[in-house]
Amino acid sequence: MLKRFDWRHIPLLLFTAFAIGPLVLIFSNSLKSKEEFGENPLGFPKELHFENFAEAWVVGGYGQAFTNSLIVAVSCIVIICISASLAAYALAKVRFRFSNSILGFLLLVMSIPMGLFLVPLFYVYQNLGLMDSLLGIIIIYSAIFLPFNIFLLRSFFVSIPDELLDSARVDGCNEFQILTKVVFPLALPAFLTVMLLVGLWTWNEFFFANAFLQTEELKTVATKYLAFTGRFGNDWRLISAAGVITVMPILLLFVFLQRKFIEGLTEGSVKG
Amino acid sequence: MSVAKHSKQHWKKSLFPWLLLAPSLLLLLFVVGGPIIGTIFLSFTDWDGIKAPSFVGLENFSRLIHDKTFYIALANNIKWMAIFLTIPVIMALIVALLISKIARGKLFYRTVTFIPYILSTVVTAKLWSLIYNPFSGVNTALEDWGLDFLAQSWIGDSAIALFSVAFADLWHFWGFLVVLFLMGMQQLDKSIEEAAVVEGAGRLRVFWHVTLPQLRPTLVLIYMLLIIWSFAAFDYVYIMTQGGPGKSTELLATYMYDLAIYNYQPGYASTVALTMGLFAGLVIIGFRFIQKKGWDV
Repeated sequence: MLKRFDWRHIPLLLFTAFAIGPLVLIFSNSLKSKEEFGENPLGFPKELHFENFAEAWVVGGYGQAFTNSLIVAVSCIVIICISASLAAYALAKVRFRFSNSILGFLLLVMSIPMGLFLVPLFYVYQNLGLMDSLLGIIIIYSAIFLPFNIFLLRSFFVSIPDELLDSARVDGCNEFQILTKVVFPLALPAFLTVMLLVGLWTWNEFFFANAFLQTEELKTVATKYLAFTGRFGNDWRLISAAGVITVMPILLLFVFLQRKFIEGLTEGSVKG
Repeated sequence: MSVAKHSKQHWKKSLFPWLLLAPSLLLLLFVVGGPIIGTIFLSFTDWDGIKAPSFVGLENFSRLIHDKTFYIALANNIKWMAIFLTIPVIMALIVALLISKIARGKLFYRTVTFIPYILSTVVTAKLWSLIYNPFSGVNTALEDWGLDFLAQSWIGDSAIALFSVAFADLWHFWGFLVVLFLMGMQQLDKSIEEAAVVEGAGRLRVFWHVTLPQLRPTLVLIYMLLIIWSFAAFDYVYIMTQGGPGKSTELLATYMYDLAIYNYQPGYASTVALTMGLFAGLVIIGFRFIQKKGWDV
């Protein structure tokens, strides 16, 4: 029997085209020659100029920028995984006074506009010599991405049955060993989500990076791209190639791990 | 067990959660908590960022009340919010409904509409600058198709620039709402819907009277997020128009950023920031109140 075609696919495909059309445009422009972009800015390229990527990579100084972004991402992942998991465990499994106030405080931090703490932080950083340093930006990112990940891990820890922890206690584990030997191994999938989200956010963030990193050699990929577009004004072919370079790592990760990305990003906001 | 030992153990036990929380709380107090107090303090001072700040009482606030740019930015934030509370919500709701009703390809559509959300805003904002570019963007296509009358100076015309920029942000963001709606729809009670259909209710009536009311918790969450984010909106305006042409796309966040980073008026910038924070705070309190009243979840 022939299956009936569902009419719903027609509007859905239109929305899909809306979602990825601009992306197709940036990929196709990144492969054009300068002349062809002038004649044909919206169509597909007639011949493929992959050398645009090499040119953008070199003149944009992307090697350095990728290294910086990776240093920042890995450091933030380590700091957040450790501090968020400890905090999340306390908020999920330990009964103590003020635990609700702490949850409220975290929620508040998550919802306030970042501009609210930008100015004093800027001057504190100038006085502490943290301005224009990767360490400085790592500290900021670790803090601002922390609350979301605490909520994410907490909702996972809550689902671990208390009986399991009690039986570990009976077996002679102390509280610290319960964390390292029982809770953390169980929470590996949740840690993977945290790693992905922190990687994503640190890679894309530019509000703080733009204000706190001024030296070209220290810029992360996102701010490097911003400087790049300033330098190459209207060379949209090169700007598109640099854009593709900037989003490629995230896009590849997303293709392979899309379910984890989507669930992590949405569940964290629902739980909060 | 001796009393001393018991109380020592008790003390240890009550200290344990605070030890676990210490790294997180220290980080947050250093980066967020302390500076917020700093912002509150600075909003009462006149400061150029170099000399010591001098206390001026409510002077910044009276300047704010007479600051035309502040009102333009505030009005733009409200327009921005109005755009975000309608267009992407309706789009996402339609798409989520369609996805929930099809048999095959659910995952495909969910994934593809989500892709823009994970991309770096610096790149997507530049990409939309290209799309809006009068010489190489969507206008050239419109002219090719004989639709010249639709061609606009999308981000150069102060009448439509704000909408154009918001639309770019909306493109980046609406797939996230699709997923939130899909999650909400998974928890719907299908039997009520089926009963309504059996009773002879039309598709639209079922949606309006049965499906939509059940989605209320999801809608409340989405509206809270959108209001908070609308008052913090920054990226797309900063990259695409820097608040221009004129001040037609100036937002509170971009105004504050300019004052703080480029115009060396951190004191007054703090006052603007504090006002933004107050709006966000009011929204959160409002929604918590609604939640406590049992209106949702």
